[in-house]
Amino acid sequence: MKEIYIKLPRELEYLKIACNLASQVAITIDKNEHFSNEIELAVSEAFTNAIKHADYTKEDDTLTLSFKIFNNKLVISLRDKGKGFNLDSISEPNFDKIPESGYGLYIIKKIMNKLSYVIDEDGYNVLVMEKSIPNQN
Amino acid sequence: MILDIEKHTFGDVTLIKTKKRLDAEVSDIYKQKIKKLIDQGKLNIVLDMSETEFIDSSGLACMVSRILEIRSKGGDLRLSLAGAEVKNILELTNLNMIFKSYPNNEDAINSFINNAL
Repeated sequence: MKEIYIKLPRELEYLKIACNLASQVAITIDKNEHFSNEIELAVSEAFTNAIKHADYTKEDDTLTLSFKIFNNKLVISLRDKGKGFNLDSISEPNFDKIPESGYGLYIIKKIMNKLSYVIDEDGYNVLVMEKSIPNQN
Repeated sequence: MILDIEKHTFGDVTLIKTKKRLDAEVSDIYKQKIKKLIDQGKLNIVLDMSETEFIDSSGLACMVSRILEIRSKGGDLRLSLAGAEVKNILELTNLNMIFKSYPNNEDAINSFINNAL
């Protein structure tokens, strides 16, 4: 397993860094542009949500983004010390009403194979996204 | 953040060229731009997405934010030159059923003229 991680300030101006890293990590796994675009999109959604929706304390105002590359999957985690949320309570957007927001988690769920939200041993919230790695043959 | 947004007028159609990235960092700027056009009564809007390589849900929000208002006032927001990644996210969110998309700017601009005839 290979791991790459970065700790960034919880500010939108660092979104591009998170996305660039996601894209580059994906390219090291598979040069297929569609794969790297999907990974970048998932990270962009997660990072943006973490900035916009979390209720942060002054204790730790950073986001830690990590990528774990296994033989058959990529596991992306986004860790923060915010208030947290209930992943199961987030409903799908009501497409009939063309909502302005609420698509972020929906997009992540469509792109990634698995999505979970846990609290780690240090009390940090961790959004964990898994994506199967395309066949390398 | 300062963002120079390219805008052109063709009759009563306004064409806005979107940048390489449409994400949370720039979304509010585009939303404000579109709102300003609506306030000025410019309700026929085309987004030229030829340079947009990346768009996420925040980028979509700048399209969606005023679409109902624009349409209720008799206008529309349409897309031109949307690349693969833009089309992909529109399909993912079912917004491809909401926004009319054209292969070039001329067709998009003319679609408003044809509607008016």
